Amino acid sequence: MREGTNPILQKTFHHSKFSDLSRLVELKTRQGVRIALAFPTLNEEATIGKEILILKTELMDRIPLLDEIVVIDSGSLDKTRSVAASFGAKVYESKNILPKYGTHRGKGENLWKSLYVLTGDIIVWVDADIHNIAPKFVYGLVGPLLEDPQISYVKAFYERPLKTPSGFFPTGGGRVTEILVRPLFSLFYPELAYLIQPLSGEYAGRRSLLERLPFSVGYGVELGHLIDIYHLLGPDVIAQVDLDRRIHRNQSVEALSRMSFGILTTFFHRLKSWTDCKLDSVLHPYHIALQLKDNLHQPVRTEILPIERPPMVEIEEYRQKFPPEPRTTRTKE
Amino acid sequence: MGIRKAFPKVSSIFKSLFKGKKPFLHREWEGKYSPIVTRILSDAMLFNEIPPVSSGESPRGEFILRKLHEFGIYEPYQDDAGNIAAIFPASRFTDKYVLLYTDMGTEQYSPLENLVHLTETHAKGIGISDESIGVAALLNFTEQMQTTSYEYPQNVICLFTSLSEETGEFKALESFLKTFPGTISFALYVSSIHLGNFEPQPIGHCKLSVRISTPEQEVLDHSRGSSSVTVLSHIAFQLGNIQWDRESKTALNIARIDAGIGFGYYPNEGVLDLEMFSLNPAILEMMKNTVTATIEKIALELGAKADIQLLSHVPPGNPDLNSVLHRTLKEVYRRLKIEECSITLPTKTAFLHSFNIPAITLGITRGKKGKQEEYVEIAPIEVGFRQLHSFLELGIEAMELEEP
Repeated sequence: MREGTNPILQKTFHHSKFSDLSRLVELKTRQGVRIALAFPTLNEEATIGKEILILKTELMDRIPLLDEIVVIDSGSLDKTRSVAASFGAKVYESKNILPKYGTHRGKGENLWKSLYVLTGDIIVWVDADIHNIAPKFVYGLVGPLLEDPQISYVKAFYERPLKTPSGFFPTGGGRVTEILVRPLFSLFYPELAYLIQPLSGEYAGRRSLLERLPFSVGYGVELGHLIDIYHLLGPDVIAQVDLDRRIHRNQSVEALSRMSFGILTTFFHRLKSWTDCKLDSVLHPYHIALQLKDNLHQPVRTEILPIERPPMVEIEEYRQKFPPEPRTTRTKE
Repeated sequence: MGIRKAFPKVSSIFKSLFKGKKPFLHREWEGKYSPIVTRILSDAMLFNEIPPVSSGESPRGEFILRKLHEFGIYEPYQDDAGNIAAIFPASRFTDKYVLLYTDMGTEQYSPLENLVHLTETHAKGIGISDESIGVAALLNFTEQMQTTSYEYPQNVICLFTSLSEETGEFKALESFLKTFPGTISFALYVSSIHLGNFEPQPIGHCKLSVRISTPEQEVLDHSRGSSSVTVLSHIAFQLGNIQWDRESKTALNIARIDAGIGFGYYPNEGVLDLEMFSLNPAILEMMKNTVTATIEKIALELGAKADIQLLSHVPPGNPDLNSVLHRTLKEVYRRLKIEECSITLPTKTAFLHSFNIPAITLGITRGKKGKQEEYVEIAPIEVGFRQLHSFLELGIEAMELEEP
């Protein structure tokens, strides 16, 4: 493939392309779609209030781009839920949504369950740990979906400076992407390697697509989506948007190692489902790290199970709430 | 650029937003705080995170312009001094104007510390108690005036100016006042904190920045005079021990001493910022001369070079000029049940008195500015905002009654 002909690169935009909010509202009204925003949370009291306040004020109260803002919480021990409610979000505990199907802790679980409680035809997911939240984080993702009916899934990318007590370091961030995911995509899915930040936590999609996707409950949810969309609809439906800069909490190398384990697990399961690649051995469910204690290396085993939620459209309660027929996106002439 | 009086158009979005609805101060809302509070907070946080005015660019000004455009004010007043204003016509023909103004600049900015953190009751972050809440309150006042088409008996100017020392304190405001063709009957400075403050007389002030340099030398070599740290300490000690008056109406504040780069280095450069406050113009002038002479003398004695820069000099205001505004303010506080606290603070209103314009400060909320912690309280913002409308309503009436 020649450089520049990759469909994702051709659908790479800067958020400023979509900053005319009155035009987006006009498109939304003409298409007769509802737009919902959800935050998956776990102990995010430091940032969730500001994210809700700014996005609700700017994109619901002042400009009617968003129709609802919802928080799906995994059982935070801090004040995440009360802070979110005090600034006007609807707050759900993940375990109380579709309780018949049990509960798992993980971001993917919250995203999957959000499909059931949200009412939007377009769904935006934004991580709750962003310090420099601004309306562009939402309208930048929604814009391509409203402007181009061929696009069904939009990923964010940005500069990710490392935030440390002594200030910002302009490079860094996206370490798992560069060390793990980009090499994997280059080897197995070269067209997806054109995604600048395939693991970014901010993305938007059409319900008609999202309800057909299985969800990894843990760290692999973003990678799983991309591979599934690639096989279901091809890379033509994926766009990416530059949001300039995202300041957030940076994770330790140990945490990134566990994240990589979860991502690799999802990757191997997708390979098995979609391709002829065969794994002759069983994947072990434990991430093993080594910790130096009394001059001896002690193993630290963390169980990371490859739990997958089925496509939401296969859940009976969901089909009752969102009957298949009327869910197609309409365009009013 | 001359003044272009704007008669802005209401954007279709806002017309549709408010069509058939009560003004948003009275609407029902989700969450703990009313829409006007969340709007002010949202604008304040977004504004606070923008780097301040620097040479050749004004991202904070661009933010204000973008917001005004969103409100439907497509051609606001702009001038070369960096002022931005929205002007709303009165309900009748008059050449009188009320000026509401606030400061877009800031003395401190850090891309990390200026990120605001929100709890259920407070907004915390460097700069938030400076002027960000005041700017946001004035923006929202402008939005309300525009979207409701409300008219006061006098024309209303909402002015976003820069009062930062770095850009020349009051220079932008001075430029506006000198070129504005109408009559300003009174002015309100919209400030972030100090809600309920009653200022009997605007204090005059004089700000100096002193740059000290001493000869470069090794750590163990003292043959060429004292270090910059020693010189600055001497100056601070000497000035701190002077009693300026008996009535406690005068004070000298060492705002900043910055010298030395760490262990192992001989400090040969340093900066001292100081400000003098007084309610007596003659004493303020005398202070400025005494302080300057003291610094020059100490520097000479210790073998240092002192470069003294006068940042600003504003004589104290005239208490009689504000008598009607003071009565109005007390009535507004009484009606809105705002607790009055009579503290004397260096404010940005004395400068207006030199143009013979009555002027007071209205704080929007309460808060604290400290080196370790800076915050504003969220709950008082609503009443703080309401006082703008109350003051305009009562103040215009009171000022007109006083006229011959």
